[in-house]
Amino acid sequence: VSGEADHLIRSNEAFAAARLLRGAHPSWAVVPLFYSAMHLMHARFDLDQLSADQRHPGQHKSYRDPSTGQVAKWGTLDVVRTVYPRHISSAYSSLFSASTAARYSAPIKGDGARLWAEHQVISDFVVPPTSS
Amino acid sequence: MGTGRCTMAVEDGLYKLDHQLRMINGVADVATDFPNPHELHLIVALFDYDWDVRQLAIELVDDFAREHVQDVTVLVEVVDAAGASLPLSA
Repeated sequence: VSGEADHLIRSNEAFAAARLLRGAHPSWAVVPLFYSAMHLMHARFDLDQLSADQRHPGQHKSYRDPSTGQVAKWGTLDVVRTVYPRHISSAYSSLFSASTAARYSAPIKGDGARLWAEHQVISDFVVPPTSS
Repeated sequence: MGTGRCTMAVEDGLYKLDHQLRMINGVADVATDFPNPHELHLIVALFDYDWDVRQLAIELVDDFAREHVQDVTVLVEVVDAAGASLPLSA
């Protein structure tokens, strides 16, 4: 996937999948919901013309040089933390955490409404709602 | 648990973060692991799952991660202590 428009399409697809899952499987719905947010942020990376090494991360967490600790390949989590405001970073971290928990360990409790609100925060940041 | 050693700055920040997390009413335990010196896994266990407590924990951890982004990548998971199957260390 490359380019802002492509990322927005993939985000919408993932969001549609999340909506399909939401009623019967609210915890699993968080997985595509997170990936929708990830593609939204990647679209924003393109929009903001981040440096080439930050614009298309191929992983969630950065790869670092083991001897120096310097980032060798940026991960999306760290790009979001480095470049964007705190409320975006915490919303993204929250969705990532919930998605990981749903897949591997403790599923979220309840209907996850707050995660959907966090997705909305990211969505509004990347695609600001029109005022009309 | 990992065997990596983090930088002193990260270690100091993590000491403070661990304290801040445990001061939150509703946090039962905090576990940390360094699979390598530049990757930190944090598990925050809540006595009972509470969205407000979860949000506070996530924000604290994310603030820490932003402060130390040049040194370490942080992954956080918030779990329910009653149902957690993951081992937690003090």
